[in-house]
Amino acid sequence: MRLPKGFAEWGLVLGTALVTAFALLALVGEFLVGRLAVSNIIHVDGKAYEVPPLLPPGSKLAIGGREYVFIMGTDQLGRDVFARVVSGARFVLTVAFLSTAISAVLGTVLGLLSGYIGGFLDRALSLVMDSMYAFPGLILAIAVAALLGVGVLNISLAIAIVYIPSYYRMVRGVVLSLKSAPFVEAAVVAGASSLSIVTRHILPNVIPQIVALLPVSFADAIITEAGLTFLGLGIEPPTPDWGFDLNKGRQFFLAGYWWIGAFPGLMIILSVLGFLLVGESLNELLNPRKVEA
Amino acid sequence: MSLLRVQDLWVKYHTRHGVVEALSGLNLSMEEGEVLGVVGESGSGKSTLGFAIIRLLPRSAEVKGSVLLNGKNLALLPEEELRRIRGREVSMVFQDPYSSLNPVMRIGDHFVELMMEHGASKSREEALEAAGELLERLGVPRERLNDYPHQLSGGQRQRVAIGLALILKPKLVIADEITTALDALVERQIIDLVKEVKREYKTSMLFITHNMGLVAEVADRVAVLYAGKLAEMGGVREVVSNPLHPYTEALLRSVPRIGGSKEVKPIPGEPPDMRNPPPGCRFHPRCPLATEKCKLEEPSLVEKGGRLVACHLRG
Repeated sequence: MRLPKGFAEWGLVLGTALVTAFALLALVGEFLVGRLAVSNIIHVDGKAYEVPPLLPPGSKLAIGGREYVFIMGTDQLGRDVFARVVSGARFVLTVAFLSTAISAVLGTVLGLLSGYIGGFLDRALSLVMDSMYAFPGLILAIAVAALLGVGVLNISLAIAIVYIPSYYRMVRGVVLSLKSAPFVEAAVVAGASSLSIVTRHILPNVIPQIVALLPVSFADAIITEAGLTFLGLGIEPPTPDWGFDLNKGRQFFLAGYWWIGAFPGLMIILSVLGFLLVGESLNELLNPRKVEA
Repeated sequence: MSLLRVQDLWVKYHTRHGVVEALSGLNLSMEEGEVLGVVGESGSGKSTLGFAIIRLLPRSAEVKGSVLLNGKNLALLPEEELRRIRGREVSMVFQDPYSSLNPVMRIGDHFVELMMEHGASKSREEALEAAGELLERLGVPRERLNDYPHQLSGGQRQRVAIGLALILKPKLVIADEITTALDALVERQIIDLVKEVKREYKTSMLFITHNMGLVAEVADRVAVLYAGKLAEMGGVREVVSNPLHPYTEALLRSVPRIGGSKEVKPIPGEPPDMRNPPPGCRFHPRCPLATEKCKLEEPSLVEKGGRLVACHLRG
């Protein structure tokens, strides 16, 4: 096996490592740390011990004859920051996954319809999508999230709505240029039905572009999710979540308790960086014209 | 009854720069089993004719007149009925074999989709079997059915495109400059293939090209188009050996021939601007024989010795 070469290949390796790590955290993190993420009570031998709040990172605590290490300290309620950070991956990644899936599917379907049918439908949809696109994303998500209330599905929908126009515009553009491609016209004069032209001739040729957009919009969705929960929307305490904890940590930051917010913030940065690296380096590696340049 | 009868066909493109008249009242007909060559320069309306017959013109095109295929007027057919006729009764081969096949579909799937869509085969296997058989007769190995278009050479792709146009045994195949994108050697092979298809399948073909030499080789009759109008139409032998219209004559002189004694003469001037076609005979600004009458009066199409010609001097 050879070593990776250049920015794109190293980026892909690093990005994939980060993405895999976060995916694993989301899957098993909650089981590893147990109740520590949501409670400051540790049960040992049937007895309950209360963990003191605001312990600095690296603090050691002897509880019931055993030594506990809080490598990221405890928060203002005595909960283990490390446990919260680890189990927080599930909520944000679930939301990012759901919202990306919803926006990709809806945006693609609408883009196909709009680009292929054209006419009034195209004008109407484009107008709606462009006005959504022109609206600042986070503000739109805040409005929708406030309307829908808490819950994984609701916050996912709120974020999905923000990203539908990105897929819509990209797909519509590709469809418009493919619609007059000779192989599509050949299918038309061979008597193919509209359904088969769209699903068998146009869609498979749009999919590479959709795939290229996926990791980038996934990263965007993480940021938007963090933004929403930072503002306390869409999530019910004490569910561990990076954005929510970042906001709590902000209140204690100036008092010197930096670890409460710093570690969740770092997780947001690293996860977004992972997905962006995967997206950008894949784009670069899969596009032969960019490799040559 | 003729297989194809085009009656008083007008096609106008509405563009930002004005209305372009691509075809002006064209009349022609084709018999079953006949190959009709359509020749003309760029902008003469020859491709527009092919697209108008199969109704593939952009929405900006305004079409008047009728296109009767076996007595059915394609111009008035509802979309669903037209879809059933396309591919099954009339099909088309395009100019560029590099882009007329779907890059993400296997060659075999092109055939399967086409045949299933028209109910011509019940199963995938049956369709692939028929496709393989036809491809072999067209000189493409059966194994190519499993390949993607980019794995084939240009000539093979054009053979596949011809196969797709023939598989449902349509009565009429429109071949729109099918050798223009190919190199000379492959062009030769494809022309030989067209001649063979004509012999074996007795398919009628509308062979659109700018190359008078190819028409002389494959066509039974030829229609010479100039600026959206018929200049001359007749049996290919007579037209080539004794052209009546000065434009046909000029076209023939502009084809180079190895060992030919005559000098190659390009046609002076440029094809007219079809937003504003010249009055009188549309060829008069470039015609060496033009008289005062040619500039003012439009010549009508008259019959002369079994041929049709639109020229004041030769009619």
